[in-house]
Amino acid sequence: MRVRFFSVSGSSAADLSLPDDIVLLHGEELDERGESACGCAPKDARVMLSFGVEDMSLTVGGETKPSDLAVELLSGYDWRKVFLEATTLGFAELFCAANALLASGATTVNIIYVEPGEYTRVSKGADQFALSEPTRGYVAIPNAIVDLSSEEVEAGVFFLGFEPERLDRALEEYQMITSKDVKLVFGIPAYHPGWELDAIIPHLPALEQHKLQLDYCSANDPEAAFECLERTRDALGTDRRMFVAPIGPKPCGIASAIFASVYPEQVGLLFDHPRRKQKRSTGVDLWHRFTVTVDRGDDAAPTATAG
Amino acid sequence: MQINASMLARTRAEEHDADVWGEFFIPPYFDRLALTTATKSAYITGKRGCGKTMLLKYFDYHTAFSKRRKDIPADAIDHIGIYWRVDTQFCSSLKHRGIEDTEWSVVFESYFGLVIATELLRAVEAIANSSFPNFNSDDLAALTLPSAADYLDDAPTGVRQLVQYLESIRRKFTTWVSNVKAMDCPVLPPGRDFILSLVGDLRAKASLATLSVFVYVDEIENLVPYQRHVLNSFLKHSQRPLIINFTSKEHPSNNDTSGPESINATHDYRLVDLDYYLELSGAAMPFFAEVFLGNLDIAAGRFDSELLDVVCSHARLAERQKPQYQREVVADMRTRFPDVTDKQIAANALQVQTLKESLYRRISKALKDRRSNLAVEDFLFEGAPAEALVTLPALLNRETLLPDNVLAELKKFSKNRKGSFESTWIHNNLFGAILELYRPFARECPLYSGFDTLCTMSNNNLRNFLILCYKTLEVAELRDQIEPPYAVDIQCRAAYDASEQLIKEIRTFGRFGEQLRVFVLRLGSIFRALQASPAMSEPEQNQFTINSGGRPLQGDELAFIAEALRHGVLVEQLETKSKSGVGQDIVDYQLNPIYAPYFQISYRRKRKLEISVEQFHMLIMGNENEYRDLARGLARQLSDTDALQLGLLLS
Repeated sequence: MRVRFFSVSGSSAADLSLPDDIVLLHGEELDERGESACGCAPKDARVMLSFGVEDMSLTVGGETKPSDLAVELLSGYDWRKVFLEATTLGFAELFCAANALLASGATTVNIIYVEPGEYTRVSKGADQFALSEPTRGYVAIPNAIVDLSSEEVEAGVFFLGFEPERLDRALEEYQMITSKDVKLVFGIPAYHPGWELDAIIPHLPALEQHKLQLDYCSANDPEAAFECLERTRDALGTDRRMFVAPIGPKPCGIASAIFASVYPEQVGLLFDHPRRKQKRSTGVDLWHRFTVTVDRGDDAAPTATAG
Repeated sequence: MQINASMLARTRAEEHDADVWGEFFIPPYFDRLALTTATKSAYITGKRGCGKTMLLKYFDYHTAFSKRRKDIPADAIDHIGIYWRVDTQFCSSLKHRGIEDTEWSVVFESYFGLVIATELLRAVEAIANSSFPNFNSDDLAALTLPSAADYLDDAPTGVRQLVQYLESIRRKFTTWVSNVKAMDCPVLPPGRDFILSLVGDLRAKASLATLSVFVYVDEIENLVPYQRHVLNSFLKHSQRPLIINFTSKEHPSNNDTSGPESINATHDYRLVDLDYYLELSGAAMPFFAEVFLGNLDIAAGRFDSELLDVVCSHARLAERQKPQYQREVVADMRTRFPDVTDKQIAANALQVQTLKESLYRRISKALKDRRSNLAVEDFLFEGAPAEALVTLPALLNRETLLPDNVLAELKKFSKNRKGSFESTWIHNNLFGAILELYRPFARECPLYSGFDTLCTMSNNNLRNFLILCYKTLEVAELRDQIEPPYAVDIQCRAAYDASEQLIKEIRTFGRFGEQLRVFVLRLGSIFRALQASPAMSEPEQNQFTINSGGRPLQGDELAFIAEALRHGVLVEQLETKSKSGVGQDIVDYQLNPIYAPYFQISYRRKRKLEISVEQFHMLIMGNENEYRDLARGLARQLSDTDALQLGLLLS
């Protein structure tokens, strides 16, 4: 299997060379960049997705089913035309959609992501960010479920962002994690110089307290994140699994969604489903179009290749 | 002394391996547990940080049949402990998804069987590799388990092969759980019967004839209801050789089984409340001292120290219960963590120019506010006792006391140690007055020092106690004063740091985590503001009771209180005297005293704030403006300047 990432970036949707017959799968438009991102497709070409945390259901347009049946829910959409709008989609929806498309035979997944001008802080000049509402916590996502109490899960990767409580809560509620080979990944370089400190500093207490390894990958490069995950997967023993907790930058979430989709036997997801706050960011910065191709045609060693 | 600091950072059992032989400190209530000789189930409860996980690891087979354990008695197999910490997010996925609970229930039983059977076989391997006298690796190789094939086609009969086989089924099972609609469920063994059959096979071997399995299911409260019911059924029918026990942060709340019966504490299980057992033992202080000193030995590499031997040996528990021994170990800690009397703190404070000036300024202001003709100098006569002077700002601000009378009392006290200062004023006000004196100089109030104080602030919680101690070591190292005794200012700074860290941790306390954290910040701020009121008529408030209002507490409010108690954010107390004098209060809630240093409030259980249901609602669920209005209303004696400084008013 070969997974390749191609990316195009620009200052507006026009720079991404989007086709006219696009079908945009999107989430809630919570802020300016979300509205802009959804605005790249005409209203009648937009389809809203949402994951029901309480019952692990997926709603596509007006239709709701167990998310195990995501393939059925998305069967009416031609994967060649579908674009996943990752700015507004939550991670669970992003994974369900990408996984369903790939399971239905898609060889390409197109994704749009728009960086914010600025993330919203709790108050002016504060260290903390106001990105998420309190949530129910870690809930499994069908098709990528993992049993952390099992010894077969021997490694894990956390992609970290600005909210240290999300890692803290995982380590508190799933204390068996500390006996595994766990890697914390920070997005470096960050979207903007200096933002990496906003991610690292609040996580320092957890780093001091637990024996965890550190790694880095560019915050807005899914390919780098994918390679980072591959490094952990390469080190897995026979019949062993790993988990990925994408609780950081969305491009790392994109990589995680693709990674869990292409290696379902080895990879599970750990995710806490934050309810993202209204106005969680301001402004619009770089636009990205990521095209991921998955070639299952040969038995070559899985690799991620830059486009 | 060279110590490995990372060893001391391990205040959580999870940081230790599954085998904790030689690292587990036998708690004083150990014999009372009687888990290894039990004939029915136990429901073990204990708050976070009470040592529950470490205890369960000690009873788990990894430790009981540790390679490091030299002499394992022949009856050790009467109790093969299996500690199972469930992955709650995985278990929660065994619900919904187009499958009925009744079907999931069968699946969950099988999952339980698969996990426990595999662990049981691993335990048998561990037994063979340990110093257990009657079963070695040759016996293991010769052992056959024919029953497995009755349930699972092609199941091998050898222990090692069967473990691999079951692991393979578990992998297939996990894959199926992940993809329930895309593939068929693998053939799974039935739950309890499968385990019992394997136990039967094992018992056929003479040296394993008395083998009994004790499963300790942790985090039972976080399983979905039908899973609780399945396990409750198992618990109800527990008897040797298979006994299912539960462990939890909270007392039993869901007693239904998957059948028509329910479980109860009289017939079906024994409630083992570890926090209560420790309190009842009356030996929390010496035990905390032993754990700290023992960990110091481990961190310094003194693994063969006498203390470690005493503390880790069950056989030597009786030695530790002798008063002489306990006095010595506590005295050692009191030497390392010295305290200062309140009176001495007051005297020391008046030697510090900034504190002295602040005190004089406040006395002067109080006199002015009371329109008194007296001047601050009138009170500062030769020999005026510091412990009385420090309380003057509060006393002089009280409308009920005339400044001239206060001065007369001060003179009387100074002369012959008699009068109101001697009888009540110092006793009631000195502690609060010191807190208030130091408040502007945040973080290092000397009241938060001394081994006894550390124990009080820990509120019987071992982890909190250790964090206070280790923070002290950290601060001492930063200030280049590594050797004990640790100076009072070092201890106080450490108490503040520990308190701050533990407040941050509240965010991780379940689904209400962030709400609980905000609640603690609000409540603590209110107590601080009440303490800062000039007359300090109710010093040392750090509890509240909800005893008025136009309606009873509602579901979400009760759930919030339950969650706060469960995580030890609040401590439920028997009622203290209410102001109204009518015994209508149901219960008092004390803000966990571990948070006191952060707010510079009292850690002692003294006075409470009486609030209404509506005020409580505002406290836990109100927005920032509503909270500020509430706080301002409760602390109405504060000047606007103070209220602004304390964050109760917006600038």
